[in-house]
Amino acid sequence: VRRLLALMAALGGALPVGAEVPLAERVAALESSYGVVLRSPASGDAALVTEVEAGLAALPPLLRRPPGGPLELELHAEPAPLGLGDGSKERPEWTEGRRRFHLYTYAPSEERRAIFRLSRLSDAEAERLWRRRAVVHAVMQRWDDARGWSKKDRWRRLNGWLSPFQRPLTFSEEALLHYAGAFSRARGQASASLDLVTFAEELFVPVESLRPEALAVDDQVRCQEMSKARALAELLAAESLGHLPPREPCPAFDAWADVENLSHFEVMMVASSGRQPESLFGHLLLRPVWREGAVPNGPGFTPVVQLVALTGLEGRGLDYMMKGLFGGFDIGFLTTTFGDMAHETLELEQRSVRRFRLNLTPVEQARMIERIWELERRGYFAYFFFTDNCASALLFLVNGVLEGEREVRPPGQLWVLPTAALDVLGRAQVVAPDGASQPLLEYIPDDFESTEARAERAWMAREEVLSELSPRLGSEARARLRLLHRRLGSPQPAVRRAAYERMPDVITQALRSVRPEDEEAARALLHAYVTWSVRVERGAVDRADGEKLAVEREQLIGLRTRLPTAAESLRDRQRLFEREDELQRRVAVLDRISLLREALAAAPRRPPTAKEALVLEQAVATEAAFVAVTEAQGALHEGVLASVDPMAFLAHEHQRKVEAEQAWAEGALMKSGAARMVLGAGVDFLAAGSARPVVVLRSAGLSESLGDARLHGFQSGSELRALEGELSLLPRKGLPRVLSSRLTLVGYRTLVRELPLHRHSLEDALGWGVAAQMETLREHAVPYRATAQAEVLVVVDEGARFRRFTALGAGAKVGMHWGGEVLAPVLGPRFALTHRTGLPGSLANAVRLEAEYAPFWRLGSGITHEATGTLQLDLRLGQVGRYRFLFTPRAQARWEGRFASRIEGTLERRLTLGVELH
Amino acid sequence: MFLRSRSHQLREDLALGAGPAVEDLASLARIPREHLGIFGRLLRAHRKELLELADARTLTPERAVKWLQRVGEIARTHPVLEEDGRAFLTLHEGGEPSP
Repeated sequence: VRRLLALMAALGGALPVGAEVPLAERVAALESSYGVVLRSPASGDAALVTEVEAGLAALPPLLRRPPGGPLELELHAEPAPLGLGDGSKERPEWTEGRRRFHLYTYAPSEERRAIFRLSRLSDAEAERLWRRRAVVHAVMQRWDDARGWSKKDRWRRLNGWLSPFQRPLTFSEEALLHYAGAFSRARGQASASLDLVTFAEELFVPVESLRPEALAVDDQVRCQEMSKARALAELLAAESLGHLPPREPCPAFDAWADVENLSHFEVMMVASSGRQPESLFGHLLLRPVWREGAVPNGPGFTPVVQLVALTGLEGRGLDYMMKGLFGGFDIGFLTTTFGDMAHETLELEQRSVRRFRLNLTPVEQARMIERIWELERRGYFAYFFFTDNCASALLFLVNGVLEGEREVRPPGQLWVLPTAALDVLGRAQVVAPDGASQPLLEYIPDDFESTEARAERAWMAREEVLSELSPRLGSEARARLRLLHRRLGSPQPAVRRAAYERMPDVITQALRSVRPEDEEAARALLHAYVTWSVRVERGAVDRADGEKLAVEREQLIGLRTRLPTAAESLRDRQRLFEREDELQRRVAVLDRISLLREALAAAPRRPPTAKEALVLEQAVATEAAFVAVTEAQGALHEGVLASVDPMAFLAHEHQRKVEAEQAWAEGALMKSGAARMVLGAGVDFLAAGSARPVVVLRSAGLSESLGDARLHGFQSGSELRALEGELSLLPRKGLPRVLSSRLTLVGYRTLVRELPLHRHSLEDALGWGVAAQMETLREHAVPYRATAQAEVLVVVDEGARFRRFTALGAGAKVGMHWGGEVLAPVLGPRFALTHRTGLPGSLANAVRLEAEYAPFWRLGSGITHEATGTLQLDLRLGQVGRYRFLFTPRAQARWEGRFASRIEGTLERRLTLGVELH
Repeated sequence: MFLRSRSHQLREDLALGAGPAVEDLASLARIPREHLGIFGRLLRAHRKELLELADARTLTPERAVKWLQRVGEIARTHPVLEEDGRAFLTLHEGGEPSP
């Protein structure tokens, strides 16, 4: 009893261990009280016994006796790094199952992650630390074996542990996060269980437990690994094995996170861009939003979480593409400011951002902000364009914070599209504060527009304002304003600049020409006219700036100036984030655009080509025009527009924008065009005059058509199709017969054209499209076809967001036809008509017409004429649960023939009714 | 970095006397939302001086600090904003107002 009391007191920290109790009694007490058996020579090593006692004392009382029977500790004379085994046969950690745990003579380690926070400890202190951690390791391993904590999602989701075969090509347990810094030491990377056990070592025996000043507060494990600490605490509490004390203040994190004022998180979808192939499918970001106090939050300074491939400043080329496709880059979690994101995305890349609110609980929000803090420092996994990208990183982040067993599963194993990730988040239901069910993801009708998108709106608004103004103005003032207006639409920045310089006079004269009773209304309209002009010019100058930056980058790379590789940049970043004080000093250099600009400013450049010189000249001239229009506006505000309240103007304009987006959202489909499936049935009318039934199955990895309105989808003016297939079957007794099939590998069409301001040539006024597809027409003499086509598109009529449009296309088609002992290249022109008319009700309701005439020349067969037409009705009707039906009755005709002495041809007609679930 | 990356937004907002860049500066200068209008008008009145000082071609860290100090000086020329600055410092720091 005396021995037991002595040990209990020592474990409680009340007595200096070893002062009064003989060593043998202490060893015996360890065995009798906790089942920890020290074998000779360990049992004779007083210092080791003391650390074993201290290690057990570091654990919550109910954990100190490990399950699974006696735990033997055996000390070996041969040295090992940290005095621990490494799992090898030569230096095992365990033998006899988990009965005997092996300790080795302590030797320093070279393992950076294990030692970089120990730099202020002496060698003797470090040895004591690792002896204590060894005991925690052994005990916690037993607990994990018995309770399976590391098998629980709550733990596995934090580092992304995958079980064998959980994903394709995953044959053994492995973690998504591969950076050693995400684990307490390298051994933790071997399995989820060792991850948990090695983390417990660090949590229960932190560096500061040896010497409080050995580590700055913000670098201590409790301030660095909040999610793991929380998960372990929850696992212990759930089994009534102890309550870990709540986290004490962490000054750096607490100041940044400001959890008390955290309002919510937004998922932001950056629109697709045809300028870079990797941005064709959009991009996702995350944004914490804080409640505002009396003082504005300063929108430009609030953080945005970028989920991006860390490509450094590597040039775009084949190597870049291969690395992006096959895991050559890492994906990381970067917090930048909203201002930096806006500059890069909305201004330089000209991509608008759609916003969605994540409906998390307050606890989940606190976890989310912790996870962001942690993952920015240690969250790195291999980037694969199709499967491990911004969308999968977002789901990884979200799943790490969801309470209970809730999980948002990836939309696919082979392709995780950003828009499809929004679909799965939108389908997940959560409980609102009032107890009602609500979707995890909700659209916020207030997009962040690119400055060019804003310029387009301003362009149209300016036309409307001019129409409203004209009747109020005197004839001379009206004529001057119209002349000014014409010049403001010039593609030449110098012409616009000269017009802006005259703008104050023209606006002042215009206002003086109105009747007194019209003056206030005219002043408001003229103010709007000037403001829209500033916005139009702003779009132009930002775009020119982006083009200038691209040219300067090309000049730099052309010289083969040594830039850090992605891997080097990554290593620098990981080192930078190891210590909070170092990070605070260098946080200013984490902005990528600034890095590029710094590199550009310092590096020698080759002279620009003639085309590049034109871009640079245009940028300078556009900048001058922007300066001129803002100076004109400033001058007018000091003059005749002084009484206009700009804040009220901005608030009113913002309200109008939100109302318009809300109205659009109410009619739009929520789901993106990812993973679509349509089942249809109908009748084929054959050339011979007979008819037969037909079943049509249409599916698509991604299919969004021109004019589509989808909350989770792309812009209405662009069409994107990938792996879109159609299979036509003849139902009959037994297996149905395949009549035809078509697979579009990829297809893209856009009707989005440049503003008149940017139309320097005919091509700037045209849309365009490309597609690659394969087709099988079983009843044709040469049934198999593979073709690629390209076209330019002329929009002859269009409504808002392309709900209504008519476009004519002209282009070419090339490819191969084979089958029936024929293998021949084909080529020919292609002419197309595309029309859409929106119908009342949902924005999905429409009549669509696609017509194509594509005569082709085939080697050995001469010229064949082919024309196809499809008239389709899209009707969103009915709802079952949360699914809505989209009915698509369709009439198709295909004529193929040859012009000889007379016209010979066949006409196939088909009527079908398709049904799609949304 | 702010002055470099937000130069176009800053120019646009200084011409109007309102906008996100003005709000950013108000947050730095601890100016309450209800006084944003006053702050925006003051900045608009001094826009030429501020834009010249923030010119990216001549911008240095020292010049950026000077720029922020100048914004603070401009704000303090208005009695309402001067009072806001004093109230903030009394509440949080106890000292002379600065941007």
